[in-house]
Amino acid sequence: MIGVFLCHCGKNISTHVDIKKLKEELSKDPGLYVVEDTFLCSQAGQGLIKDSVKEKGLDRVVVASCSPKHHGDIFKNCVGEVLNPYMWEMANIREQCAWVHQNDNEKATEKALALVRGAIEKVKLHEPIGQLTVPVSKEVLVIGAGIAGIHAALEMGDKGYHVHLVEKTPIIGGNMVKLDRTFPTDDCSMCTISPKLNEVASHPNVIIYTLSEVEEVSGRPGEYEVKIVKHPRYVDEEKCTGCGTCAEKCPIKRPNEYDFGLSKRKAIYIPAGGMVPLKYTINRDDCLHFRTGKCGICVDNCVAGAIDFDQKEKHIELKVGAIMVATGYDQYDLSNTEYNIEHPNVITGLELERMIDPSGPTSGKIIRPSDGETPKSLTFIQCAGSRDERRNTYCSKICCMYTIKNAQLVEKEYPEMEINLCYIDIRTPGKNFEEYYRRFRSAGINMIKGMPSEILSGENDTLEFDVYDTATKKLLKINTDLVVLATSLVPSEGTKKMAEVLHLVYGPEGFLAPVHVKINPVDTANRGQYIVGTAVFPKPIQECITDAGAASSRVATFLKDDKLVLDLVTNRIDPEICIHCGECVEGCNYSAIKENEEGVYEVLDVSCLGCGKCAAICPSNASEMRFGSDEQLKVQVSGILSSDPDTIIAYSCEQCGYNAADLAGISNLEYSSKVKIVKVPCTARVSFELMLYPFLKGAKGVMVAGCLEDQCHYIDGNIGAKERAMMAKKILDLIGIGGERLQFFNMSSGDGPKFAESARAIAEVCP
Amino acid sequence: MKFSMFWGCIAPLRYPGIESSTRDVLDALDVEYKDLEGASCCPAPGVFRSFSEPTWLSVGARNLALAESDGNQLMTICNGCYGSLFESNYELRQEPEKLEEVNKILKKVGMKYNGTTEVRHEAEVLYRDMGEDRVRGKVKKELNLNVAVHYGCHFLKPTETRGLGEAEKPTILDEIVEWTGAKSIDYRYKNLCCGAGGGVRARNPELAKAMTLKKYEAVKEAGADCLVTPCPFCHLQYDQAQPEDGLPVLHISQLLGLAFGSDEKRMGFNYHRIDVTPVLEKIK
Amino acid sequence: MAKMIDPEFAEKVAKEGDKSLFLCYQCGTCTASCPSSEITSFKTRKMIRFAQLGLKDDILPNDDLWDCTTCYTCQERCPRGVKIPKIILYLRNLAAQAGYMADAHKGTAKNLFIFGHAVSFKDKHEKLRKSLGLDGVPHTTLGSKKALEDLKTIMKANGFDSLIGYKEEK
Repeated sequence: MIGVFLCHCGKNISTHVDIKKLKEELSKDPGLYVVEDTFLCSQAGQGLIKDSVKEKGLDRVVVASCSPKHHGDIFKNCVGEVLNPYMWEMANIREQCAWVHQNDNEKATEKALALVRGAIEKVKLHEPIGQLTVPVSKEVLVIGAGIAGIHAALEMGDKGYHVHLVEKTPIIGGNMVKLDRTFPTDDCSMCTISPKLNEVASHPNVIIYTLSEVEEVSGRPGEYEVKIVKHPRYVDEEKCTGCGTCAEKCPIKRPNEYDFGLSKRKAIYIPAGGMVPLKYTINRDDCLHFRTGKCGICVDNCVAGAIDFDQKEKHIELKVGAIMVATGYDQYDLSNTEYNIEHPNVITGLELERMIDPSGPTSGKIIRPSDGETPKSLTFIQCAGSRDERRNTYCSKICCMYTIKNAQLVEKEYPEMEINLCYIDIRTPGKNFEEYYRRFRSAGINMIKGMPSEILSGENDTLEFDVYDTATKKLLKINTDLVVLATSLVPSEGTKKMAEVLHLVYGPEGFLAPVHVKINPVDTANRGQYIVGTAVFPKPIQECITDAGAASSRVATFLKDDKLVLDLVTNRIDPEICIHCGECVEGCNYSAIKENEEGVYEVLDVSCLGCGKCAAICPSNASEMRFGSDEQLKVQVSGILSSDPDTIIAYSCEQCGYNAADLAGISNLEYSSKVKIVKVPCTARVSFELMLYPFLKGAKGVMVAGCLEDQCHYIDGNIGAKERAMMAKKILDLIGIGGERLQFFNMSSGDGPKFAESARAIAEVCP
Repeated sequence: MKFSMFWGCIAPLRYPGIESSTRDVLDALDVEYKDLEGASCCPAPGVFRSFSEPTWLSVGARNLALAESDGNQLMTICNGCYGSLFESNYELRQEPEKLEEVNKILKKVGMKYNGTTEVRHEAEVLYRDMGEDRVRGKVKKELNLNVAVHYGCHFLKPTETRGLGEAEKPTILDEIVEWTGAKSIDYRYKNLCCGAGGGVRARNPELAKAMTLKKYEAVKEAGADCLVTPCPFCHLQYDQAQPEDGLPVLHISQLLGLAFGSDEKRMGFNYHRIDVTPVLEKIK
Repeated sequence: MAKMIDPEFAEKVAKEGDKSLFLCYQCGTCTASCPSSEITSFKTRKMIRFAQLGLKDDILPNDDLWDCTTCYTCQERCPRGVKIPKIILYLRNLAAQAGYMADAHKGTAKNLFIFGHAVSFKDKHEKLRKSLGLDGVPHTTLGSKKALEDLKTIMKANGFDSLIGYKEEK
């Protein structure tokens, strides 16, 4: 027997919806136990529901009151005390009925009746929903040991989790250890990060794998199986003491990539002094032993006997509960451009950092790479490759600040040097940044608001170019000894690779994409995988640390128990019907459908978010939602239509469309009572069939209300749905019903007026 | 409190009615004052400071030193003099090296400036030192006039050094005007410069006139009976450069004189270019 | 023709004019508030920018430089606290030294040597004063030979006479 509970909501609903009439009509059905109450959400109201279930032996419940977005949780918990928490349905007769049809009580009542009947038919097909309990591992993988990765590892380690910190290069510290002083405090980078490097290297809960890369990740959230390859160092890490005798004696010299060629290294080397771990590495391509079989000078000189030419790559397998990606950035490659970066005296921002660094390749002296002399003039050029439709459209955020920082450091050291700075804007979006800029401005550096078109090679290895000064409308000629380009930041090679390995969503520029840039900035679409630092977007050091803290909090929440408990409102695939086309695997943004050992496609419940896309696109109907199945939605639709055929069915996605409809109600915006809303998790759920089905049952029209095009909360569900809608319209035209009776609307979750407008628009063409 | 009066150039030599009105107002208010004997041009800020700042500083310092010898505060009746002397005084107090340089020059005429003179403007003395009660107490005739108050530029600005409050929507002069019973009306471009300053009246009279014209249109539109200003140079500019049917221009001392019932013949209205009679008729 | 920046001249203006020169970031608020900028080709921002770049030749001979009335509105509104009128007055000093002083201004300056005042003093002015009950001759440099001589000494010590081309008639 089904319990139907009708709420007056004080006078909110009952002023426009005749609750008495509803009760009368519904009571005609002997299968229903119909009760009315003033405030169902109150303690008394909830008590009424629970007592009725117990006393009358009800096995399902329908609550006709406000929006599930309002008190849905209250009723779910209430019902859950006496039945399975999914054996109920809610009919929204307030925000989506009483409040939007205030001018016609009769129509409002008619609509409310239809909505309740739809809910009753649907709940008849509900199945109890179970829960999935999966164990989780308390081990965490952090990919990338720059400042973000290191900080994440420390946070997780301090929280008691075991952390595996994987780093591609021979040392940890990333780009930050290449920097000299950092804004806006001008304290030196190494001083700030050294304690962290040492802390993470000696942390009891952190294992560091250098020269290592993540090759493959499989498994499921909570228990990811990770395969790591550790490339050979050709030096035994246990034995090497970092004494450096090997490098002293090694006969092979090469330009040091770490110092952008400003210094030389040997075939056996450490990228720079004072690094962690202090272990040497042999570059196989440079080493004479590997090239010719001859030479063992390092072996002869190593007292610790740490050289091991036979060292092989190691394969390590780990099981981790969560993964944090902190793979960082690189500088954009400006080769073969008008910036003339091939010229020895045109350098990038990072290269200047290496020069200014007192422990760097030039001992802190600024030199012209062409002849090693001190430049008499230095010109900074901003936005090299950024804010550029031809290259990277975005702003790289940190360059204005680091250039100002460098310019004033140079000016202090070399007060005689003429310094120019060519820019479009100076951006100072941070605490104490504008004050830093103001202090800098009094120094008398030539600030030119204008950009050069090209950098030409001049005499004696100088550079020259013209630049148009905006305020004076004069063309200025600059002749300078050294040009420093604030090169655009791009996702590193590692970032791009991890995006592939982990199937992470990324934006058009290659930066990793969070679920939502504002409200969910470190989570990804893959449950249990988080992204931090400059792999997501250029940002200053303090923001990398904030990211790491945020993600650590998310990981700690995710792994807080030994197990994960999830409601099984997920999809399931019937292996008997499945034709193995693979559409669902392709289409799932959450990598939640996998082929198991028996070659059968199955849904990973722990990764599935229940958007319904796979169910909608499955050509053979093998994929079905446990909650909100096709059958359930269909009987809901036919239940509404048999009660009131003068209906336009409005499939509204729970994230935006449904919310917007609620807001239309809160604002008391009027639209036709023909429009009756059916909630779906995402418009992706609305299959071709579901779009046409209402017409079969006599509907006057169908509308689909989803998120704005680029803001689907399930990434791209609304895109496919809209395509289907366009196709369905054509079919409706062909069969003579008229494509104008099916319409797809995109709207923001906060746009009540848009929902009302859309409802009015379609009601107009569906007489 | 005794003041050494700095009369400037324009008032005593071109609109002496302003000087006599001021004397009568100060007498009525029982203010003790004497002339600053041997004073020169302040020197005019827009003109002389444009040519040579060191000269401007030295000439100004001489005037300040004269007041220092009197042991009095120096009171001006003119925005230009006020701005010039206040700013040179400020510079000399802020930059000891400049004061030293200037004193080297003053030494040639046996003078020295120690930086102790306070520079005042009649309007702010009335406002701060006298106050409403004392001034209202002397009003014999409530003036029913709609007055367009023109603050000018150097009375309140630069606000950073003047310390007389803000210059966007000031009230000092509006209040003083209302103490006479007159109504200070609002009008567009109330903050607009008269155009004479900075040496512009002499070098580019057309530009000065264009700015005066803008003010003229605005005050006519607002229905004012007269323009009142604390600066003889703005006074001169408006009296000379407005069109024929321009508004009569009064210095603040002349307005107060009318309210105090001072001798109208001493106010020099006959020598204004724009006829003041309509104002005098209205207040009868 | 493209111009070269002259950092030395810019430094001089900053040092002797006002050190706030380099704080200007060309937002243009000054120009928007300037009554002269509205009417003439003088543009406040441009003049300050010329100074920042040391473009001397665009400043000293420029008539625009003299269209500023020193109303101080720009300084009041400047978000960077640049002492604009002070800088313009300093640039005028340099222009005057370079010989770019208007005749009208030289006339006003000469009055200071003759009368000790910026305007002349004739019989009619004395008469006007008397008619109002004032002393015919004000008690300024007009009433004291010594005061005028002292003033002249001070001005000559500053080289002001040669600056404006004043030669004393014996």
